[in-house]
Amino acid sequence: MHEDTMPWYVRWVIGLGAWVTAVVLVALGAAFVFSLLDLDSEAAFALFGAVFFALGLYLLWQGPSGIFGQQLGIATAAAGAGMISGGLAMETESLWVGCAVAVAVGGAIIAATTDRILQFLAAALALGFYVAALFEARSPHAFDLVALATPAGLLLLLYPPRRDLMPTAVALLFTFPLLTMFLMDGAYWMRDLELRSTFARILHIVLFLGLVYLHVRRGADNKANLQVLVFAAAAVLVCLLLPPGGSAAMLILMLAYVIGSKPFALLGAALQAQFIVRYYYSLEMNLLDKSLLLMAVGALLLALWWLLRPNERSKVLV
Amino acid sequence: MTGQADTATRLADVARLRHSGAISAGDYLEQVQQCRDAPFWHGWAMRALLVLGAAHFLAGVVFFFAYNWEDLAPFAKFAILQSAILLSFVAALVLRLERPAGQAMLIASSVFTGVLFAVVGQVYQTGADAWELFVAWSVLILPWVFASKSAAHWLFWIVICLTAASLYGEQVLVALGHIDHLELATAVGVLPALFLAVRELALYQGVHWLAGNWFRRSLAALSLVPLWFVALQFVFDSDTAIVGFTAFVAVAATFSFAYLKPLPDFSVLAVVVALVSLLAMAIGGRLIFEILPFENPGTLVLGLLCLGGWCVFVMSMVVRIIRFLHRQAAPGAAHA
Repeated sequence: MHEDTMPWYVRWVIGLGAWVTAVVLVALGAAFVFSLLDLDSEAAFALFGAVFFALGLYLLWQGPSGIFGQQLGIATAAAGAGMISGGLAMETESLWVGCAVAVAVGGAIIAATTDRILQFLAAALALGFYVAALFEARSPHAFDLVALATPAGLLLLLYPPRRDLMPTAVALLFTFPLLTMFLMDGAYWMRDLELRSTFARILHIVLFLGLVYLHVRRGADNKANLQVLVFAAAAVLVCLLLPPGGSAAMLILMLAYVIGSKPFALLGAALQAQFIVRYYYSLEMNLLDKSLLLMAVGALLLALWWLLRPNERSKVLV
Repeated sequence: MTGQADTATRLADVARLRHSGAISAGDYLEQVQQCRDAPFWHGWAMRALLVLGAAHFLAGVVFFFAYNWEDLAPFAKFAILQSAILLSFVAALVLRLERPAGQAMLIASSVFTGVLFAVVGQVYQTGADAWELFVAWSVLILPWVFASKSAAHWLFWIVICLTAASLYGEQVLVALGHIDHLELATAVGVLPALFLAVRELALYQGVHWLAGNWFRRSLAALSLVPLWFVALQFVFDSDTAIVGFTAFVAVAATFSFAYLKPLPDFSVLAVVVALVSLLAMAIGGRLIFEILPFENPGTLVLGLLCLGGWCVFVMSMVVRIIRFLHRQAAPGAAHA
């Protein structure tokens, strides 16, 4: 089975195992440097990580070394990437340095190998540092700045370069919705932080409309296009009403529709369901306002479904 | 409808064409959209709109009651909920039960019935245990579940049954000391596997509306995931969880057998492989650190080295097994 034709959940299965293995190897590196060699230096940890990283890439370059060698290569290189970035971040006491190093290491992985699981893990590491650095800086625009990952992911997904960057695109695309999901119920470390999200909200609406445009421009059927435009107008209203997390999930559902991707449809639906459940605990407005908002959004979507329904039997939207 | 596996293969082909430079970045999206199965996605969009609308609206209703529930008079509470049951039931009949909208309305009736039970319990302080509420709820809505012929409604009913079983175990069996928490978790984990067996049998007998693979996958996950946690507890914590560990192994083995040849379904096999491999890693970790305790740096490093090697070995086996299963269960993969 070629990696490209693997169902997406198989890649998740293998990726999860690779992540667990990488964590074990990072622990091994830490035990070796801090416990066995008794070195009180994070730079030494990073150096040890560089050795891991080089070994991992070497194993991946040895094509015929078999499945064991390949899996060892993925886990070792991922552990090495984490150790280099983490070690240098600790040494300099700056998460931004960790982020920059993680980006550089991720770039090296993209340049040196075609392994998609390793690329996804490296991209997730860099984005993790990015988000952590923004929130550590206590920036009120942290939310908006994280939202910039979404257009970058969309761009890589819809207009891909020759080099396969799909794993990076997926990591970028899901950073913002996952973050909003975890922050919605008011994590303790951001309680005193006034987060602004106007830009993020507008950005997601613009991206949503962009996807609608990409779909409509192909359709020769004016009636079908009109249906999509009516839907887009209502969806924009929904995005304006909902907090950015809800809009981000709607955007992923729209993306699934435009490119015909079942995995994105499933993940978008799961995100939206999570959003509704967690919205109950959101501190941004009282329960009455939230209930009225959800009912208004629900009524709008149901009305839209009712409006579009009679046309179901006629021309199919292409 | 074009097979999803065919579509996935064609999308992968488009990606390969892009990576080889045969098509430009600008043409990529055009090619992807040409592979798209338009009728399927049109139907999906309509269903998604209906589900999203209903979910947001019902969530809003629940939030509203949560907000000013205390301020409402008991009569108002009953009136609102009974009206909701009646309205959704009538709407289900008007919209017709063979259509998704009608089925969604009947599911809403079932949900409101449960809420009504909870309110009766609150207002009259009947003294009934929570498990009795769930048992009564599951029994009362059963005719609607049969009438709707909807897999989603059945899944909802099964979740209520599992909650009832879980609460009965907690409030009666565990409280009286007949079983412990882990044995209860094991029993509740095995139940969805039994429901899945009934579903497969019904499908074999020609009940085609149960055919959605998502229903099979949901039941498989509802069974395997809780059992996996009990099995993990056996590995790390508690020897009394051996029943759960055995149940996990038995259910995983049964699923592997059933979904490899008789009813090929690669997605269920992939979930089994994922959970078994993670459990194997945990067992390896436990054994290694039983032999090489954390006492000194040397044994710690050696232990972690062995564990790292073991994890890589397990991952290699996972890749081999997945490839083998994909070849064996290819017809199931076509429905993925």
